Amino acid sequence: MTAPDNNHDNTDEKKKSSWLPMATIAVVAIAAGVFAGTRGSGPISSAASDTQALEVVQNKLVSTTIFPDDFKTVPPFSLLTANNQPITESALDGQWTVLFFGFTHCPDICPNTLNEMNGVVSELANGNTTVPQVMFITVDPVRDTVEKMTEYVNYFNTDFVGVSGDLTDITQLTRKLGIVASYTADTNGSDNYSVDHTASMLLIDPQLRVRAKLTPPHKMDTLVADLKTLITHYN
Amino acid sequence: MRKLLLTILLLSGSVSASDLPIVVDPVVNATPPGATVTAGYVTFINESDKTISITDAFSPTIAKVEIHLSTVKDDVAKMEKQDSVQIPSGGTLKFEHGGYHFMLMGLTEPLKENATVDIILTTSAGDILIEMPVKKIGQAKAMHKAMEHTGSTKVVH
Ligand SMILES: [Cu+2]
Repeated sequence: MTAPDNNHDNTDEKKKSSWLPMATIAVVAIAAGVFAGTRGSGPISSAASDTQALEVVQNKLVSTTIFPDDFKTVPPFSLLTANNQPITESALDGQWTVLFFGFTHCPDICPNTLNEMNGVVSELANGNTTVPQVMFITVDPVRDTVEKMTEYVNYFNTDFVGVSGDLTDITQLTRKLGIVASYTADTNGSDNYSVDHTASMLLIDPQLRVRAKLTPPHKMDTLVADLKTLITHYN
Repeated sequence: MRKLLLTILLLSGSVSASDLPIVVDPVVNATPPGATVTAGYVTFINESDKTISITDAFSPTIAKVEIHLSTVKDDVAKMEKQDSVQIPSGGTLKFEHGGYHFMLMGLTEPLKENATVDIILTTSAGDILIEMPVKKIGQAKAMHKAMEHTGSTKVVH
């Protein structure tokens, strides 16, 4: 297990709604980081024109950060899915995937995200846009068995893919993808720990490249718009 | 219809009813099979001249109920237990997705739609019993939208 998270700031109720602007600020900061160093005047190199093309798409996106072509590729992994079948990175091969991480002991953010995604895929299917597969990987495999994950995601949509596996294997994958998961110990030392985890979802292209980060709050309408923009851009 | 949505009972006889917060749109998310936790949401309106603190939550049918705050900070989603929350005098406090929620823990079987969960709150103005209808995830939001359309937000208790 990861060391307990130390980021307790005892948010009081006055800050109740501050997470929305915070998320927005984070997006801007990350976008700025991605594009840093390639802005400015001077001769337009091919890298710079790629960057400009990315910026054009980025400006159309509501709640998503687009990544450069060579940003990151999903590394090889070996985990488990429905009926205890092995699942590897080849499950992402040849199709678009919205990949995200969470756990079933999460009562608020994870189920709402899955519910929104259910609306998103039906909306995209109606609009003749390529429908991405939706994959939900637990960051809490000790409690979330494969059976549990499967039942859980199927409640929202039977096409959704639930994934569990060895904690070590999942940690390896999350680290490589830059996904955070830290375990918060319950004061009673019981089974009631929580897992703080990355709220964004990753959009993976059919060649396993991480194309974009869909940032919270996850709302059906913005997700549909951003996924349409991105998938149309790359198809 | 509204009666179904909001029921306030005064358990402690010594306090006047007008000091208690008004409870609007209580809802508990129905759970997927296998889930042992879920969230409950509600809006409190405090028309009294004192801040009301909610210090404890309990249910006769749920192993453990806590008040939690969900936050997303630097793209990390987390949940933290709150020892107490305040409803400002003349103000409202919303328990809603992405913010405060009742954390219902230790479920041994799925909570199905149309069931009801009783939650009893200890507050500085007295105890409150809230009958929370169980609804499919996302229904609470639909309800709010419908309310905006009809404009019927006035609540009587
Ligand atoms: Cu919670």
